[in-house]
Amino acid sequence: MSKDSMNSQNSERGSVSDVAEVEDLKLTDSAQGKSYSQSRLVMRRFFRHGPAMTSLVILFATSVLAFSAAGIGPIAGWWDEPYRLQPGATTYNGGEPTWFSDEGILGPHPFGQDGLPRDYFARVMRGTSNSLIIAFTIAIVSSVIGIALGAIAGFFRGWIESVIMRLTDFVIVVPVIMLAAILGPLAGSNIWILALILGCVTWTSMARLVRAEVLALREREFVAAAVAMGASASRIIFKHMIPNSIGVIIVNLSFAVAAGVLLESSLSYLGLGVRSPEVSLGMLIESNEQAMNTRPHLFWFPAFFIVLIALTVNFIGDGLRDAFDPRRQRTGDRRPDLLSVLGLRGLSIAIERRKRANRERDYATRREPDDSAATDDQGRTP
Amino acid sequence: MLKYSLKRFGSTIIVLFGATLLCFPLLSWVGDPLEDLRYDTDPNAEFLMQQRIDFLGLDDPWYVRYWDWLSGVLGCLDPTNTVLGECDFGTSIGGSNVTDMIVNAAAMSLRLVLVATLISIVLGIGIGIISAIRQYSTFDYFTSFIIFLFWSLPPFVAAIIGKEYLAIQYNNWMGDPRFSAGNILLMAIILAIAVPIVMGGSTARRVITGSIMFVYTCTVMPLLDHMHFMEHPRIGPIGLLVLGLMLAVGLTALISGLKNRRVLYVALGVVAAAMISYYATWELLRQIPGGYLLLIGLFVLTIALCVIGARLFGGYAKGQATVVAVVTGVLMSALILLDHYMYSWPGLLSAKPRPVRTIGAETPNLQGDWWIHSLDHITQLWIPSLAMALMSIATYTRYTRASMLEVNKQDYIRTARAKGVEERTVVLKHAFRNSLIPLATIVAFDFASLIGGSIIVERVFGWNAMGQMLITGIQNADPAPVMAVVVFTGFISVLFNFFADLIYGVLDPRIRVS
Repeated sequence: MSKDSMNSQNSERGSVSDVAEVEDLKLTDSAQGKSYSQSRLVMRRFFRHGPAMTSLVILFATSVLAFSAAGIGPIAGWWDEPYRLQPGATTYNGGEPTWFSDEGILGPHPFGQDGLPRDYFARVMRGTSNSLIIAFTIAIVSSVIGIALGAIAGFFRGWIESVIMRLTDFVIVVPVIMLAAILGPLAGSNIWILALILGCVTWTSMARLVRAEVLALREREFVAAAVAMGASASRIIFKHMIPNSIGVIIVNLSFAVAAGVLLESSLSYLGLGVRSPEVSLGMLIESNEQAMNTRPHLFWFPAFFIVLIALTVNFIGDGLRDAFDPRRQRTGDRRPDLLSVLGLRGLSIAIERRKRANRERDYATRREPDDSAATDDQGRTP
Repeated sequence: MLKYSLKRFGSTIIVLFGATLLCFPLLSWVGDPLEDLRYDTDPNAEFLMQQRIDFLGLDDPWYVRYWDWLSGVLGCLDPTNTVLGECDFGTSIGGSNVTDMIVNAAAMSLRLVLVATLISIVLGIGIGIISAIRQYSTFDYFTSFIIFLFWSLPPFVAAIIGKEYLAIQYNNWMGDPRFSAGNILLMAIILAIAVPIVMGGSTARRVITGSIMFVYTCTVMPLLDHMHFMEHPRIGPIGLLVLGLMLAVGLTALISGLKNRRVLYVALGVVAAAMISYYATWELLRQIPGGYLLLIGLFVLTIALCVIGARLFGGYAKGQATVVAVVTGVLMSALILLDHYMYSWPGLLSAKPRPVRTIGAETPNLQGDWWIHSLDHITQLWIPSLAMALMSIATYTRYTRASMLEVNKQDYIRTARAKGVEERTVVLKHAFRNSLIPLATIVAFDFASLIGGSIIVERVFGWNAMGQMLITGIQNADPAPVMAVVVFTGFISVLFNFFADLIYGVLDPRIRVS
């Protein structure tokens, strides 16, 4: 950065106020709107968060694709090729992907075949659905443990708290991947047990957050009132503490899903997570790593799905955090629209001004009949 | 302060002890150390099994084995080897001494983690600051997306991509390193779009910056190609002088403004001194007695000389002159070092035609002097550490940006602006410094997770370091190597948290360490 860019920084501050002006125009609109409940507000904020909504749609579509193709439990999916090796299977088209080729949109092996040869689409879909199952189970298990321990530690204080927090310290000191690697072999090839085990080693951050939240809530008047009325500890925790820290819990839960995807795939890549004959995206990458040069699609398809799941979940978590945290939301309101970002602030302001002028004209024309209606119905003058 | 440190150190030891107490029973519960022998058809298997049972003490309950192991490790707390016995991490199933194994493995893994930390601090803070200054710009939005992408990229995927495109494809390309016209055009277009976005400014300014970048790339790249720069890179004295002058002027403009002649002259003086020492130390550096120690010594000497020079000639602007002189001096030393490495690059290429080996931390049986060996280490190191660093870069960028924006809202920033302090001073002196405080904790916490990441990345690049020890240890249900890795990583992470607490107290006087 040279001095010139510093100067331009000064001049840019002038135009930042233009951005603020655009935003103020928008706010005047919402200011005369109706009022909403807290949960409605959170939902409205979330639904207006572009990246989060897009991610939600993509994640939903991916889950539907994976589960419907691979099947859920005993129900078979619509994709007929098995994910395991079939007797008499032959390599088709050199194992190359057949999608968007002469054989129609999918063809017999849309993602190609691996070295054995097994149909790769079936394997990737199976792996994706397994990864989704494991990630969500990890998040739920770790959140349940974390919430329970955190709430107990924060509510009861005393020796219970010091024991629980010391235990948390012991677990935090060892990197998660190491604890998971030590315990991973216990699961064999059962993905549910694996998810349960991984949930049991990743609860620490949730426990700490919930404890901090409960410690703050403990000093509030409504808790004191509940205690005075003789409410039991479990009632206070379940009726007052946890509902009031639901924002922190949901946001952390969503990030735990993303961390779960990465943990599971990394562990399976090391050969200590999901075992054959089950399939996982990390395992697919590990077993086809040598073919990176000759058949790169064997790497790119599973890698794409891992990143897609983690990315969409991260964006959803970000949107949830923005929705739950009003302090962040205020800065979110200051966010300029697309035209302003592209450097067309003048145009953006002009559009907003015209919109406002239109609105005010509409409001003025509607005002007379509306007012008389109001007096007629409710019997009071405005 | 001393009392606090001691107390903190005591609790560190307790936490570490608790972690081992957690891992050891789990490990002995999960694994079956005799698994490979159970399915062995060798008539000798029975004997081997008994031998291993005796060796690992499998007939004893786990706490007896744990005590055996712990009494060996406790010796490490006692440097005199008299009270608690010798430092002993035990023996692996294969019969090798784990104490030696962990020392070698930890040195390799730590090198990886330290370089990754360094890369992520520099890149993360830099990108974070730019994206905070230009909040809600195209650059800011692009960075936000990249942050999320890096957070969603598992380290092994990043490592495999790096191995394929930065190592294997680069090696292929180095067979005949030519830029084609398409390459040059592509590069020029990318830079012509990227640089104006980073630099910012009005539309006209962006167009001008972009055009200059385009023309510049289209002239320089064919020139480099013509000079065979990829095989025989050099900065050379002229390049060093030009870059040095640019550095001196640029840093002065950045930190104190070009109107401050005193600072400018000090910076130019540093460049002159660097040019003289470039020639004066050339032979010494080629011989390089003492290796890295000499480099570190010269580096410290450079900083000391820069500080003294700036204090003597800085006059009324001593403080700013010192900062400019030290930064210029450090960067000039880095450039001189780079020139020396470049001088040895053809030597490395002749000893190792494919410059990046994708397996191992160094090339075995490499012929050459110290510089070639050092270059070899660097070529082996930079891709794994970059792959590991991606997630940390994202974290640091995010926190620096958030922290800068937070600090920018503070009253003292508004006061500074109201007093008429220049934007440069507000950003660099008031906002940037204070926004670094929370980052100290983040870096310390992140260090532990980087060690976890190194286990995975080492696997991709076939390093025989801590990751290998851990994984083979777990597969063989061999407690000694696994526990050694657990103790070591745990120790490093509590140590860094301890440092973070101390630094926090120093950086932020509002926090009393007690």
